[in-house]
Amino acid sequence: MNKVFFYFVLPGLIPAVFLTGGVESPLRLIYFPAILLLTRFFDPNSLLLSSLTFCALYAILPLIVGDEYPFYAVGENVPAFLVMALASGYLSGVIKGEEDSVRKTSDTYHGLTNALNLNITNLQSQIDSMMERYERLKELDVNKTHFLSSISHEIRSPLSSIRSFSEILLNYSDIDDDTRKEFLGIINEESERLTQLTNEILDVVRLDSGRTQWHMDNVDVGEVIQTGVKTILPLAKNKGLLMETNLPGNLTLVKGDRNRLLQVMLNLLSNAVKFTSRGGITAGAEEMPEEIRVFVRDTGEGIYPEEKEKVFEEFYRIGDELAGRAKGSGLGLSICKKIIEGHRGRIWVESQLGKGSTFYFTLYKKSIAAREDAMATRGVDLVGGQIMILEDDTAMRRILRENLEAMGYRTLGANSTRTAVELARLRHPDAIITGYLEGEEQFSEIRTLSSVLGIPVYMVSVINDEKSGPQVAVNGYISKPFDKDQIEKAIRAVLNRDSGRITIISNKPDEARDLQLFMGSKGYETSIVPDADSVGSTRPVHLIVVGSFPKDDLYAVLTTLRTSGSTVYIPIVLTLNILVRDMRCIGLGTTQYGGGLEKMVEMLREKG
Amino acid sequence: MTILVVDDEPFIQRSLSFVFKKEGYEVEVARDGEEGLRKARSLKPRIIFLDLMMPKMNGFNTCRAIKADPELKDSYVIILTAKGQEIDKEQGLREGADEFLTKPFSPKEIVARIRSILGERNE
Repeated sequence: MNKVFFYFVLPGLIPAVFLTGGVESPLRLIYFPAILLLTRFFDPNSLLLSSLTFCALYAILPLIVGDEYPFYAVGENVPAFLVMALASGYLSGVIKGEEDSVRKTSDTYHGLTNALNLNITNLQSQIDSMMERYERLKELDVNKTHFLSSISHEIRSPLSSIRSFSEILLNYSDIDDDTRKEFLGIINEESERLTQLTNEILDVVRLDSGRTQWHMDNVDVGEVIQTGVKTILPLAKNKGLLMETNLPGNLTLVKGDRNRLLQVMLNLLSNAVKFTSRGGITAGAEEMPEEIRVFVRDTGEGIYPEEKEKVFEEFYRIGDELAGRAKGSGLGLSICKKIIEGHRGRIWVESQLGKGSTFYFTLYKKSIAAREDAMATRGVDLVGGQIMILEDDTAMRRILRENLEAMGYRTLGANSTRTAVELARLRHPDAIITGYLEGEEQFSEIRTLSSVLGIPVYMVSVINDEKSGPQVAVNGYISKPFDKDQIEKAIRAVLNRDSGRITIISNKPDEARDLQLFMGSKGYETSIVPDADSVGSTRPVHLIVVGSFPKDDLYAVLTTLRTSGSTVYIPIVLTLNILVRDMRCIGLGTTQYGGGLEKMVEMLREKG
Repeated sequence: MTILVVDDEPFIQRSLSFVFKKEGYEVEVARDGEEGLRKARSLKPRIIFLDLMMPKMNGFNTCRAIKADPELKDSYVIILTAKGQEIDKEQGLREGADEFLTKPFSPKEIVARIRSILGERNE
């Protein structure tokens, strides 16, 4: 009901009746049209109320005005206004009913539209991921076809020699002994080449399929280099080349597959011998801050700058035939590259044409876990970088996407770990953000991926605040199984004090007691409650630790905590079933809840 | 009667020239397209064997150059390659090659082909 009608129009009717002299006045004839006009501006309820007002006024007029007022006028006017009131009341009811049904339909429509939108978003992301998968498969297929036709070509050459020379030996009886020996030698050499080629093809296929068994152990790189040099030395001596090693005292052990690394060493060394006609070859290693760098230096012919990358490609060869060298398979360096990359190292070549080449590869000194930690502290300082959002909840993914895009990032969506892994391989995002809190096993896959490709994984727990938009809801994480240091680190990160009261929300007694035990031993005063609603009954606390709940329940707990006045600014630390030390987590410092997603981006940009 | 073998693989050169010599033909070898074209122009061989993947000038280009040379119009060009795909064959024939053979090959069959090209009777 319009307020103007109540405050101005309705009170205005009363003096209007008196001033115009009541029913005797000819002006009364305009009352009906006036009231009808009102309905044009206001709703049927106004019509009902003004009619009732006139009814009442005309009913009490005789009492106020006394004898001068003719009673028959009351009898005429009151029923008229009453009929008006009834009609407008009916009309109002009908209209209200109509409106309700329209609203209901519109609500349903709205709900359907939303659901449809969600479905479309879902479908779109599914199509996207399917397209990505298809593109990748297509690429793989093209590569495979290319590889196969190359193989076929490579096999035909030695096969040609074997076939023609053996046929010659069979067909011609008048061949002298020397020539016969020469031909048999060629057949022998070419079958060896064929064998080597077959082995190397198998190696490539195995390394490519990712099903290689790595026998990782502590490896003394110095020993590998010396063994390699010892094996290749006779070859070098044959060509009159010098061969020496250049190794510092004691190299740090690295984690690696010794035999595979030796394979790389042998390959680089025999290549060096092959491409060097005078001078010598030096193999050695240098201790770098984070890695061991191995090198094989020769005084050979060197390679063109544009060949630097190509030499590591499959079947790329540097003019063997021209120089009258034994023909290699063209796979050696590509295998080396795959092996070194399997160790998460790098391999490259520096060269000066005519002066020689130096092949380098690096191996990390630290254990893989330690390196992942280092990786996790690297920030995404790229404005406009690409961020992958791994989140199975479509609505949440959309919220994250819209916000990140509004902040100038490009985004990629993934609704499952599998999609995420495939997408990340293909598109190399700068960071992965995930709000997905369940599923321990899938995480190992994405963690491996992130450590191989060097993509930091961030974890963020977001709740959607209707008033202020999406909010990062938690300040830190603890992963299960619990580890004393980790718990302390997580608490320390958000609570800058040695003592304090901590509330643990958990409906799992074991979990709650474990946490209580750890925290109690550090001097914190703890209390345990089963759900978020019970937090209010405890004394004010400095920190809330939320135990592991199923995802939906967890969001409900977080929402309750972040929307009730007594807990809105209290830092929250979550416990999770995944190893959060392997990823960087986004929290908001000690008491800064409510900063919204800008905070998240700040965290992304922050260098560890 | 000269046969020219243009191939960068020494073993192919060796086997073909051995067989051709045995059968009483004169043989010359070249190890890349440029050398092949040069030798073809000076020797005017009756038959030329051409590999496709060679340094300096590949087989297709060499073939085109040979076929464009009016003095070499009587030379019969046989492409002998490990690239056995239909598309390579098509291109080879388009460049004017008279025949397209793939490796691995049988020297006996090659000799039989030469005889029939030269109009000799197979024994």
